[in-house]
Amino acid sequence: MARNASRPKRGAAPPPKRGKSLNWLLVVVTLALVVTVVIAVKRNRAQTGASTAALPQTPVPPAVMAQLAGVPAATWEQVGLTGATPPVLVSDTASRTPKAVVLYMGAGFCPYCAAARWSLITALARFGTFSGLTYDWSSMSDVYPGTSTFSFHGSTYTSQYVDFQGVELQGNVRFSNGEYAPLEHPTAEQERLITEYDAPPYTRDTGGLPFLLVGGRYMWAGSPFSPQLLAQRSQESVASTLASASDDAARAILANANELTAMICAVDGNQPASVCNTPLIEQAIKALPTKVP
Amino acid sequence: MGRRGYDRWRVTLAGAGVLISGYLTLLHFDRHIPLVCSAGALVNCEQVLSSPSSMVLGVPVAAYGIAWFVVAFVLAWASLRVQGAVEPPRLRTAALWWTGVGVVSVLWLVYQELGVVGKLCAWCTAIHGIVLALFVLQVLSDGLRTGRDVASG
Repeated sequence: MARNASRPKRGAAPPPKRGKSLNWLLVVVTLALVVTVVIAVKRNRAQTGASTAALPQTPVPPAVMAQLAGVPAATWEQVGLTGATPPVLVSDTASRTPKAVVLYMGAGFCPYCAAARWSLITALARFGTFSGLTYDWSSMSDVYPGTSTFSFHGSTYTSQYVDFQGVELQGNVRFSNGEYAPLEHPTAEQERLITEYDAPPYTRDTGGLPFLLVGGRYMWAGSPFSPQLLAQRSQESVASTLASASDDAARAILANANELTAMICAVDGNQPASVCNTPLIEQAIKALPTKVP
Repeated sequence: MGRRGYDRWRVTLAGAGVLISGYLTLLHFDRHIPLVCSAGALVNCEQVLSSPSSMVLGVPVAAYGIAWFVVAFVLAWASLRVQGAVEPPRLRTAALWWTGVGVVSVLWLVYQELGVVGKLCAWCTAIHGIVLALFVLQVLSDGLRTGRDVASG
């Protein structure tokens, strides 16, 4: 602030001057602010160090991405639909969107979401390309603790057939009050869909995660297979078995991915033909539910 | 700048504070109101505004902000309306203490953002800046309000 340096004129009111008595308060507040920021940043670094040690956020290596996206056709056929969870038909109205909208809503802490993402990613990789996926694990303080998975938060998916909308509502780090950190907000339309369909009569419980809706017609609420199959397994370990479907986890992932592939093909006009016009998928499409509960 | 100049700034800043606090309070109660803020590694309004630190005794911190800025606005407006060079001591003292309360609150909120949540909220930072600016204006104009230096000068 500029000081008023003009000289007082005789007969006129004296110009105001600035007092000095309280200026020390500015120094005190400045110091207090600096100290607060330093203490806060130190505390946060200590916290972050601990949490990232337990739950590191690492980009998925290209080799693992290749395993997720490179399941051989023969393996898809070999696994078939054994043990796959059929969807619920929530609407028999055909979608009018140019691409099949696949809406996933889940959360980082949720072990059922962790399991579902495996099938979702392997199925969607048949229609397009993911980038920016990171490793993630379900909460260590929930059931099936530390289930290996991936996070859609910050990732992108490009496809000429599918419009994938992945919404990770919360992370897997708990605040001191027991709540998980929020990550992403659904749009009003996404919120309307989960409110309308993730509830009886379409599901037994209301608001369960994950919530998956394909083309506004086929819905999965909850995990299509048990997260127990992924217990004590790393992402690399599970991904390495996908090509040969050599264990129960891989077979469950791929069977449900086949089911999901059939849902997508059923709403996107059977595109691409190389994925949708196989005997297995054609059979799976015919087996999709035709009645709304 | 004369006292009236300082007071005009106080009125303007307090008014801006009411508007921003009002916006952040509405965000708490209506999830459909768009949150205009980035969601990056450091600045993430959503994470800050949804954290437990954003509520005190079940009331959004932003709602306390509205109350604080309304009082600050009234005090600034009253100062602006005072005729003559010397402001009543009670009004000056009240405004100084009130901005002091604001500064202490800002220190606590900055600690919550950086230390507990680990993110910064751009809107909250704007509010913190306004509170600190109001405090600085109050302190810098203190001599003009007391007329102490005028009398001794």
